[in-house]
Parts: sequence; C-alpha cells; structure tokens
Amino acid sequence: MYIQVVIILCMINAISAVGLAVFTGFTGLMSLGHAAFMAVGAYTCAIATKTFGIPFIIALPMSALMAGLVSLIIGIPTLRAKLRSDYFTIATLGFGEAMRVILENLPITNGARGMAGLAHYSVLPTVTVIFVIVVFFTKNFIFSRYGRMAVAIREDHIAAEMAGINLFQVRLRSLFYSAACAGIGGALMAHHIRFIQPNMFTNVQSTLLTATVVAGGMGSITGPIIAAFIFVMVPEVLRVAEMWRLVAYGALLVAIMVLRPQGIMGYREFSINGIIRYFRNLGTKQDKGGTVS
Amino acid sequence: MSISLEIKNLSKSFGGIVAVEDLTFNIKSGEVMGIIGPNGAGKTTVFNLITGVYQPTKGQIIYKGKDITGHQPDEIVKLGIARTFQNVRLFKNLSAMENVVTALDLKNPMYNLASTFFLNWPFIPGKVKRCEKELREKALHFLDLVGIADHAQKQANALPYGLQRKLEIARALALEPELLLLDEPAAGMNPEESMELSRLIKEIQQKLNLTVFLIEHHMDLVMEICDHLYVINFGRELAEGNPEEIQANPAVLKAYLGEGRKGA
Amino acid sequence: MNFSLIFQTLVTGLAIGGIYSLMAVGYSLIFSILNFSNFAYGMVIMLASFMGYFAMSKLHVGMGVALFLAMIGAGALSFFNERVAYSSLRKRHAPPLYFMISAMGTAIFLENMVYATIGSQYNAYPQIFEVPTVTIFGASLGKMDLFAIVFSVIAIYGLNYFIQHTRTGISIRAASYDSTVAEINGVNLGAVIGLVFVLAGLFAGISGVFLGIKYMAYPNMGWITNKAYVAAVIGGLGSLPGAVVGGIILGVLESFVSVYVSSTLRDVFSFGTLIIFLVFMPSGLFGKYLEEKV
Repeated sequence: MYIQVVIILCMINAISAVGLAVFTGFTGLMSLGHAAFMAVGAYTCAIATKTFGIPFIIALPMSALMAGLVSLIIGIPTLRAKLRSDYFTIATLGFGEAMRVILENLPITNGARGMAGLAHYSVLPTVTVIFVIVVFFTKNFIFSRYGRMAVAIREDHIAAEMAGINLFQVRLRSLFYSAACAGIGGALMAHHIRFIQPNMFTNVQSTLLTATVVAGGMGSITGPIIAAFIFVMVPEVLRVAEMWRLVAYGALLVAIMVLRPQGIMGYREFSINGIIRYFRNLGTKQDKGGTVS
Repeated sequence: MSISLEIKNLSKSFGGIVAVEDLTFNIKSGEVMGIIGPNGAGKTTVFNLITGVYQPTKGQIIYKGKDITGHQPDEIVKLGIARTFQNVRLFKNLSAMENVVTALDLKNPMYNLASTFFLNWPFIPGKVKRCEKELREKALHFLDLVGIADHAQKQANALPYGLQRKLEIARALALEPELLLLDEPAAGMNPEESMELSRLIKEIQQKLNLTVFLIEHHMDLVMEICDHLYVINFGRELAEGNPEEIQANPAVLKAYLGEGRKGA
Repeated sequence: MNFSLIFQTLVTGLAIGGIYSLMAVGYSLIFSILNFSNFAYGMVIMLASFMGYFAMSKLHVGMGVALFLAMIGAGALSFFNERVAYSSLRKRHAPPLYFMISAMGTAIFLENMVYATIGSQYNAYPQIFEVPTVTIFGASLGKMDLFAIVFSVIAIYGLNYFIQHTRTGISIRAASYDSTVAEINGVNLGAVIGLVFVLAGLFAGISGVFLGIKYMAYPNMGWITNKAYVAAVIGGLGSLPGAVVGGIILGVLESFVSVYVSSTLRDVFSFGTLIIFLVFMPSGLFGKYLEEKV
C-alpha cells in the first residue's frame, strides 16, 4: 500500500537522521560521509541474508556493528589528531567517496552493478519496532552523562577538556553510535527497496541527512525526526521530481543558515511543556551563534 | 608545607615569537599564589601550559612530584588541577546547573553505558534517574558555595557577567580540584565587587583546603589575598616574593609605571 | 622502464596538476580569508565549464573568448554565492559549521539546478586543435595539455603579482591575516571579501573551461572539483604557493598511479592522501595550522 511505503521511508530516514543528530547536533561535528555508513549497513545486511543466509534479526545488529566498526577507521585517526572541525568534515567527505569506490570494486558486493533480489524484510511492523527502539536508545544516550559530555564539547570544546572530558573518547563514541544508526537505516533501506548499488550512497545522500538534522534543529532529537518525515512526505505528496527536490533542499539549507539557524526545534524537544515554552519564547530568543575568540 | 606545583625553566614560543621564557617557580600546597605582570606578559600562556592546552617548547611542569609536561588537558584535570578562563568559557546554552553537573561527572561517574541504554524507562524510576537527581543536588551545593544557587535553572549566557564568572568558578570547584587556577576572576568588576570576590575566594580556599594560583589586575585584590607573588614581564621572570616585597621592588614599579616615573 | 611513457605520464600529470592548482588557488583564497571550506566552489567550476561549452558550441566563439566569458560568469556567480550564502553569517559571527552547511546547500542547489534545467548528459567541447597532439621525445603530448600548463602558470603568476604588489592585494593579505584588525585599520572588509570571491571565481572560470575541454561538461563533475581541496590540503590550506605545489603534486601522482597502478584506484589514492595529510600533516607542505586561541 502506498501510504505504508511512505511511512516506512519516513521512519528509515528518521533512524539515520537521529543517528546523525547525535553526532552533528549534540557533538558539534559535521559529517559528509554518513552515506558510507548507510552503505556499509546495507551491504552487510544484504550479504549476510542473501549470501550467507543469516536471519534478518541477527543480520540487522551485525549491520549496525559493522557500520560502527568502519566508522572507527576514519574516526580514530582524525579524532585523535583533534582536527579543526572543517578539516574533519573534509576528511569524512573523502572517506565517503573512497568507501564508494571500494564498494564498486569488491567482488563480494558485486561491484557497481549492485545486489538485486533482496528479501522484503522491511515491512511496516518491523520498521516501526526498530524505529521505536532506536529513538528510545538515542533519547537515553543523549539525556545521560554521555550526552552531556557531548553537548559540553559542542558548546565549547576547550572548556569541556578543562572539565576533564576526553574529547577523543566522547567524539568517537558519538560517531560510533551515529554510524551504527546509519547502518541500521541502510540495512532497512536495502530490504525495503530490495536492491542496492554503490551509487545509491553518494555524498548527496550524506548531505540530505545533514540537511534533515539542520532543518530539524541541531541539538534536538525530535526536530530531526519531524524533519525526516516532512522531507519524505512533502515531495511524495507533491510528486516532485528528484532533482527539483534536491534544488529545494539546497536552497532550504542556505535559507535555514541565513534566516533561522536553530532549525525547527533548536535545542528543544517536542513535548507538551516544550510547546508552551516555545510559544512563550517565540520572537524573544535569537540565536547569536557565537564564535571562539 | 609540601610543594603543589613546580615549574622548571618553562618556555613557549609560537612560530619564533617567544611568549614565555625560562620561568621557574614553586607553588606550595595550601597557599594563594598570584602571577602578575603587564598585559601581554604571558600570564595566560603560563596557565595554558600548566593545563596542557599548549605544549611547552622547553621546561618541565611537576605536579605533586609527578611530571605532567605534555599531558592532555583532561588528564591534568583528573590529577586535580582545575581552571577558569580569562574570557569566560561556559557551556552557554546549558543551564547553570547543567554546567556544574557536567563537571561533577569527573569525580562522580555514577552509571555506565549499559545502564544508560537499558535502565532508563519512561515513567519508571530507575538507576539513571536516581543518579541524575543526586548529581543535581550535589551541583546545587557548588552553586551555593559561590552564592548563585538561586540562578540554577537559568541559561548560562543569560546570567549577568559577574555571575557567569562565579558560575565558572563553581564549575571548576565541581571538578573537586586540589589546585585551582583563576584567570582574572575579577575582570570587569568594580572595586567593591572585586573585594567581595576576594573574600569569597579566600573563604572557599580555606573551606575546601585548596591551593590557588591566580592571574589578576586588581592590585587591591591581589595584595589582599595572595600569600606569594610571581611577577613576569615580556615573558620573563621579573620578581618573586610576598606582597610587601613586591610592592617595594623597584623593577616591578618600573615595569608597571614605566620609565617616565623613574626619577619621580 | 619506457622513457617516453614516463615523460608522457609526467606531462599529462602536469597538465591536470595545473588545473588542480588553479582550482586549489581559488579555493585556498577563500579559505584564507573566511577560514572555512567553501564546498560550493566546485559547483562554480562546473558551471564555468558549462558556460565555456555554451559559448563555444552555441555562440561559436573561439576558446579565448569562451575563457573570458566563463571567467566573467564564474566571477559573478562566486560573488553572489558569498553575498547570498555567507555574508549574513559572517556579520553575525556564526560558527564555521554554519558556513559549511550553507556552502553545502549552495552546492546542492547549483548542481541540481543544472540537472533539472540542462540535464545530466555529457557535453563535449568542439575540437580546438586540428591535430590535437605533438610528438616530443617520442611521447605524444596533447597540445591542450601544454596550453593548460602555460596558461595556468601565467594566471597564477598574475594573481601572485596582484596580491604581492598592489594596494588592494595588500588589503587582501591584511584581511586574511586578521580580518578584525584589518577592518579597524580601514580595510573595507565587505569589499575585500567580495573581491576575493570574484578572484576565486575567475580561477574557477579558467579551470572549468580546461576541465570541460579535457573531460567534457556535465553536472556530476564534483568528483573532480573535489580535488581542489585535496590539493589545497596537501599544500597547506590558506597558502597560495601551497595550493600550486599541492595541485601539481596531486596531478602528477594521480597520473602515475593511473598509468602504473590502476586507474580505478586513482580516486581512492587521492582521498587516502587527503586523509593522511589531514591526520599527520594538517598544515600541509606550506600552510600554517591555525590553533584555536584560548
């Protein structure tokens, strides 16, 4: 049923977006390589179920784990070196590109032709359950001492270090978690479309995820979820062609940065109290976006 | 009295420009030591070197007999050194309370990653919720110590500047340090406020049995609370001694008042 | 080892390296003044490549005129990119992350605008030289490659002269050293930044046309324009001599890797180099790694 397909897509995107929100929104580093983690998840799951006949329920956590482990390859050297934030972003972009080229040239991934005929595991009940679990874990992760350390780094990484926080450890933990989420998103996507190809996971995909998080609000979990739903549903309803969608997303990203950098939710979460607070604060609060002096 | 911090021949240059050169001094446990000098003398650089923000070009930093030269900031903090910043660095979008709670985590890690994921269910009291509540009570104690408990729920950057400075001190105290470095704690305060602050620092220092090392330009504050002073100029040692000695030191007077007053 | 093959590989590498240098120079110029990575720059290059293509195939002008038009067009585009996407962020001192997102947004917008309006097909430039190659030392060298090398050298030399020896050039250097201090000292920061984006755009124009002649014009050119910052990182972000040297090194290395190792691994190699430099030598060969002040 068409509406089911749309809702499944919304939730799959929201899973990856929530993961990236942990990293970009709460740790303050931008990744342009998250499509690579989705790809790793998708391929792990596809190879596990199709080539090795492993049950989906085991293959899915394997995908998350594998995506997380692959994130360490890029995360350990770059985060240990404490790269400036933009250098890190460039490194992830390069990593994403390199990853795609590697997938195109491995025998086990069937190269650029991709893998077809995957089983249809991503049905609505399954995806819903996984979505709820991911959101639950993410919420617990963010509203904990671990999330607090990440936020401290986003707010001021030098002050965070002077509060005894190990930048490397906390950033790597966030990266691992977000890559694992992206891996799950990718795996579900693979078993939803039932066909995967390396060029489905380009840096455009990475940027779209970033757009979702930015639009939803960096520093919120519910914001990116809402944004993920809007980003899937609106173009579906309006039947917009893929490229015009991307044109709009590009313009939207610039517009958000210029006009409303806090996104839909800013640092807030969607809750009844939040709504009341939000309307009270509307118009009085402005993002000052301070820089390190 | 035992020695808390030993600085030996400490030098730092940035791309050929010497910021501090060949500084050697000790800080005794339980004393309030001040480092003074004209603007640009390299005082903040000394702090950044001690706390591992910069790596020294030469020299050694020894804390409680342990060589900490070249250690990472977070390792140094774990050993018991905390600091504040000249240009207040708070977690701006967090509440005063959360700022302190973040720092409390260092000495009070109350639950692990597994409990984070599995022991925090909506509507059900659990380990994580209990620990978080306990941390908040503890944080309140530190906010109270600097007298800003009333502002616990306010967002850090919504606080007036003077209170932000106090919050930064509270956050540093929450790290439960033995050596506290204060970088111009009274900057931007009027004489009355700075005297009030100096009383507060002294009180906290005695209550928590701290060693304090501070940079300050308010001379009345410095003379009031410091047991010992170290004076630098152009990155080099100029004088060392107790406040009376420093006030009478001709080299210090010259550096502060300039050549023109020499004969006056 | 075959000498003429090595020689040919070297010249091919120098030619593509020259284009990388041009791209890296423009990219580095912007980095040096705004201290962030302008991801939209690659798309300006791509559009310049289209401008050159349309000028030559539809307006039937020669390569010189096409180059000129593409430079003007890309300069204007680059200028508007700054005014629309970055100037307001700059004025409210937004964190670097916001600049990067805005840049990424611009890039997606421009790229897909081309997909949506012009289409995804490859557009080959008309032939420029009747006999496209000359034989030197037994190696068959592309005339266009030789021309690209010479023209790149001239353009970079010209830019260097402008920055080192003119009043405006000094303002640019002052602003890239410390924009706040420069502004206090009477440098019109808005104008200088605008000019830097125009200059970067001119370089995007040149490199876009050369890339188009070599690889055709198509919207998905990002894989090659991304090499601009690989080259810039190798040379040291924000350093102009670094950008030039980085571009040439990258071009030559890639050329040898694709001839002697494997052409599919060329891009993995480039990005691997990028990551190795970022991790072990973040200041590159010539740049200064800017530690954040405390």
